[in-house]
Amino acid sequence: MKYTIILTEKSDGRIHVSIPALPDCTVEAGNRNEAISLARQAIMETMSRSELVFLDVPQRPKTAPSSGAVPWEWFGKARDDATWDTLFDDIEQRREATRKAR
Amino acid sequence: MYLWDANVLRHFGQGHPTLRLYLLRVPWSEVALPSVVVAEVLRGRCDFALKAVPLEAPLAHRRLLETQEMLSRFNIVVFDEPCAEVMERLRRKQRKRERYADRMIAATAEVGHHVLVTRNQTDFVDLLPKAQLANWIDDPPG
Repeated sequence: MKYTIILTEKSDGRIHVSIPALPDCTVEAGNRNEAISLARQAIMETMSRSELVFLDVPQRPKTAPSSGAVPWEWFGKARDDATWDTLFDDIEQRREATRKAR
Repeated sequence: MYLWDANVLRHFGQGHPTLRLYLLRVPWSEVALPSVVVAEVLRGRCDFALKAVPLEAPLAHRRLLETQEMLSRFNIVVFDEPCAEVMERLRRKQRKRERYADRMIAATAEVGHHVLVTRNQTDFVDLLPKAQLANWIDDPPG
């Protein structure tokens, strides 16, 4: 298994190693080679005490977002729109057609 | 959530006074449209835009875009796989009748434990428990 490690030189010249996949696992060394070696040991030591579990978490599709407030600007907006009534009459007629016993 | 049937959306557009009273009491975040109703409304508007005679077409296209914009202000509950399973169960219960949209809406309400707000409760009494039905048009809030 490959791990990405980040070697950062500190102001005193020492090398700090962080391992993004194992955030609690860090090492420090006097030079680059030693840092890599210590990081390898630290990862092996940590993993020997750890178990990898892959969780499959199903996600329910969430509701599409809408802003928090009632969109009052649309409330009653279709009052003078004759096509609005036609639109919903058609929807009701289509539904009614499927309600009739086959 | 309170899931609106198409007939409630119709009265929203018409500014129905009883519906207004509910909207003053119920947080908008608790109101949603089933994706089935969104599809029905957009189908109607699309048909109008695509079949209108040339003189009516500009109006039809304006209405399509306005409606799309209005719908975007609603929460939408999506008809997903669990809804499809419930819908199939309802179909077996109702063998003699197709009632496609009714069953889709009822299944969406059942899966999400939503209250279906509709003016046509008679179309849903055999699909949903009475406690999951409400009428925000004819029954004023208590």
